[in-house]
Amino acid sequence: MRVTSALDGLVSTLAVSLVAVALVLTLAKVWPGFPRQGVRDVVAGALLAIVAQTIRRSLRRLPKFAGALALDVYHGFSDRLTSALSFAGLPASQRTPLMDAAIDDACQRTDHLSPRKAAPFSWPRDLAAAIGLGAGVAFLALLQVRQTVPLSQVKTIQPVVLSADDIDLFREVGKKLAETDKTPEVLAALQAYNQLVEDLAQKRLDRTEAFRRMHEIEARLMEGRALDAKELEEQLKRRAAALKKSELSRPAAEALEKQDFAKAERELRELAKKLREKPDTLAKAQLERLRDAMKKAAEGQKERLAALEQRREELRQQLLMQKKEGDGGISEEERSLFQKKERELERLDRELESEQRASRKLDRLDRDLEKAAEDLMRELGLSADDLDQGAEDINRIAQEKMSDEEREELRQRLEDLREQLRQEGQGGAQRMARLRRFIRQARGEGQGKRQQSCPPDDPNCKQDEQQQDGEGDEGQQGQKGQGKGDDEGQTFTIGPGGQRILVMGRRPGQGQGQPGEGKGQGQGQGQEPGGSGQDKGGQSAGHGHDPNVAGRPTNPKMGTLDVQAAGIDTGQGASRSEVILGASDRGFKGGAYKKVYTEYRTSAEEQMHRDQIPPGANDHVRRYFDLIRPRE
Amino acid sequence: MAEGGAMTRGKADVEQFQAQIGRLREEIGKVIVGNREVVDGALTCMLAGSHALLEGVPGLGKTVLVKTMAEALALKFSRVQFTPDLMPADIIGTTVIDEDAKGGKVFEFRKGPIFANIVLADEINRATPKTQSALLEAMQEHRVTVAKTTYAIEEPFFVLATQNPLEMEGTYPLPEAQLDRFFFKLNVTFPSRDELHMILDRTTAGQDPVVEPVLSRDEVIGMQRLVREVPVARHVQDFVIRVLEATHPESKEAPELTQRFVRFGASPRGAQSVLLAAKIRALFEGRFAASIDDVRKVCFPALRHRVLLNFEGEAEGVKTDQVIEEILSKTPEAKV
Repeated sequence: MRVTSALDGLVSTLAVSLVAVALVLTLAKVWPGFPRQGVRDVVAGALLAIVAQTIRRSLRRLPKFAGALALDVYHGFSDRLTSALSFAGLPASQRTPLMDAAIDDACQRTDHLSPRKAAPFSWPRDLAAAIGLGAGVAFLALLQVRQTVPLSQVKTIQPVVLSADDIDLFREVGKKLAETDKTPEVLAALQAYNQLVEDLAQKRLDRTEAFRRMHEIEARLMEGRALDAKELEEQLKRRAAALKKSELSRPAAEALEKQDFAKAERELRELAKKLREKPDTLAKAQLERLRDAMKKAAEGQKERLAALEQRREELRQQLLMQKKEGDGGISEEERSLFQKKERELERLDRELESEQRASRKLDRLDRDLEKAAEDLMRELGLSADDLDQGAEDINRIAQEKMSDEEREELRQRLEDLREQLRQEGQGGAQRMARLRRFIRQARGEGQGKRQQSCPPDDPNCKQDEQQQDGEGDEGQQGQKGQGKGDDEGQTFTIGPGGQRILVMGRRPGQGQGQPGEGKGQGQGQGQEPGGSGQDKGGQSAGHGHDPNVAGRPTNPKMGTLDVQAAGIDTGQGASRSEVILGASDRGFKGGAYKKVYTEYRTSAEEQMHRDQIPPGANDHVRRYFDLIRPRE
Repeated sequence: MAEGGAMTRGKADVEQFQAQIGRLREEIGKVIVGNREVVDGALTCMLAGSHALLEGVPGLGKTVLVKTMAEALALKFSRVQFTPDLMPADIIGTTVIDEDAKGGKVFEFRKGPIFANIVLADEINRATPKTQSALLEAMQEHRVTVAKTTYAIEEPFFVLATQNPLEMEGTYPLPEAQLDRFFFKLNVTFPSRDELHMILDRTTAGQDPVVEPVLSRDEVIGMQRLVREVPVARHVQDFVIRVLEATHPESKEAPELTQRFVRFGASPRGAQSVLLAAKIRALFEGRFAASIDDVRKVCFPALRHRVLLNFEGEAEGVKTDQVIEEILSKTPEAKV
């Protein structure tokens, strides 16, 4: 009975444990994040529970007369044995005659008892369930569940949106810079720049990322730009001044002074050739002067650097001395002098560092000139080789300088791009709307072409138009009425002094706009005094009609006369305004427009350079010219 | 030797008991066909010194059974037909003024039908509660007090009350407290076809069966005494207690049916009835001690009128026998 009970407990607990394991396994299969340790813990817990339950059942005390009861039940004794055992447990004095008779009766029936049959071994009740569950768990364990690993959610960005025109501009810059040979650093920066522009075009970058990339490219550009161009120019001039002292090296020196590196290289090669091929034509004095000039050119910088270093050291020593003396207390004047000297020292440090950087760049040229000077008096051929080498150095410097210029241009373009992004990020929707309108105007798309200027993918376009109307009220342009007229067939061109001139008959339509539509137009007229005479709005605009709007009716009876006149070619071509107007219609194409554009842009750059234009507007001016740039 | 003698005496007593019961059954069987359980139940109640409530539709032989028992036992028998106008004095008796031998007036108590060994209270639920109470007090106390004088009722005193479950109009159902005083509630069922054949054969022939008295009053009292001596093992008694507990809906042993449909469970008097009935059944079977099987058998008549259903149980048509059956099936035998 105990074994049966223990087995029963074991199987029951096993069934329950299997249910738990099945649940955990199911969880582990369907939920990839379920900890494996959890499965192991549950299995271990289940095993422990099974063992514990089995032991508990094995050791558990059975009911006192469980065996006797089983025998009674099996043999149909109606509790005779159990009762007899119960009575037998009593003291003899407490037993009644009937108890004794019951005991005797039970004893008489013990001969044919069959305990094995009374308490037969029986398979645990839950055995079938446990086997089924075990099979299920095994199946679950072997089951391969296809798990869908959730992809990390794609981070959505708010991309920087540049107009197609701007993107074209930046692409063109990249192409233009790529046309010439580049140092590897510039080439790498250029590639990064092109990639940046493409990413912006594909709307793959948000503002943060765009700025980060620009900063990265700039850092790369600045990394390779060790030389201070101005300092290099100065040092080349000093070397040129030294070389000028010899008539032989003067042409090269003059070219060097003018930063005409190609000519300088050519002249040096000529000199080398002369030294190599026609040494007889050269006087000794000439050679002496040439040697002195080259030597001075080569060593001049060293002396200058040494002088600078010496001056700096002296100043430093003075400062140290003053500092020691001043520990006890110094006057205000002395303190001011001390600070001045400190600043002077800092300046000298910077100057020295700059000079050293430039010197390193020209170091090879100096060595070649020095060697050429040394070899000049011994072996002219050797000196010629040294000069050839110097010419090579100049060529290299020229290339590097060119590269620096391109680098600077690229950096400037990056600056433009940054400024553009900055402007778009500032000021909100209203500023963006103004900027877009500015772009349209700059591209020659007047307000009459408002419909055309809306790109299909620009959701701000409608809003933009509303803003435009609103700003008409503010009198910025006063073109509201003109715009309507334009829509109805009027075409304007730019006249002298920026006048707007109506061009009749170029487009079908009424050819006349509404004479003013309220306040917006009136104010606009005030700001554009040279504007069209058609717009008579003024302050009283918006009421009534021009009685002569249609002019006099045509008399059909009136005869007509055909007149033919040959055109006179003055050789001057179209006026600038005509060129601009025509180019804007054709997408800013044409050689004439390019010429006019260059002229205007140069003029604008000069004005900006002279600070004639408020610095805050410089970007707008540049942007304007970028937008109306000649297209191929 | 003494132990062996006692054992022999015990066996002899039981054998004698069986013989007496055998004779009694045989005599009753001359008149009563079938209904063995009801006959045994009635005999059990008598041997327990208690009373029985017989419930059954009219014509099933309830009155005949009681009369036959009285004839077979040679005991004094009386019958009271309960009606709404029946008064307690009609059952207990009344005091009348009488003349003594000297010609003086004296009060004399005239005993009612209750003063008999076997009393048939026919259709007890038709009398008013006041009259019912008078009977039930005598049933419990085995004595009657009238005008400050107590009159003992001669032993054995055995009341068999009948009630008709169908005709409820104009009846006064017995309150729970009074129902508890009946040892058994026996359901008299309709006889089977064979039994009906026998009934018809016996009752429609020329001669009625004659029942001879087979047991004297003293023998009955002796049998009652022997019943009390039957031992009960602890595990059997424990089973009785657990069954009793399971009839109470608030008990943790109570099965679902009890919890849902039972209003009140059986009182300790119910357990006494069960155990005593189990002892009698053991003696009927010729055994010396009561068994769990005996308990199982007697639980139905001993508890069915003691387990009170709640409104939901009655509305659902649940029978108390169903509740008891579930209790017995859910109560484990051995917990000792």
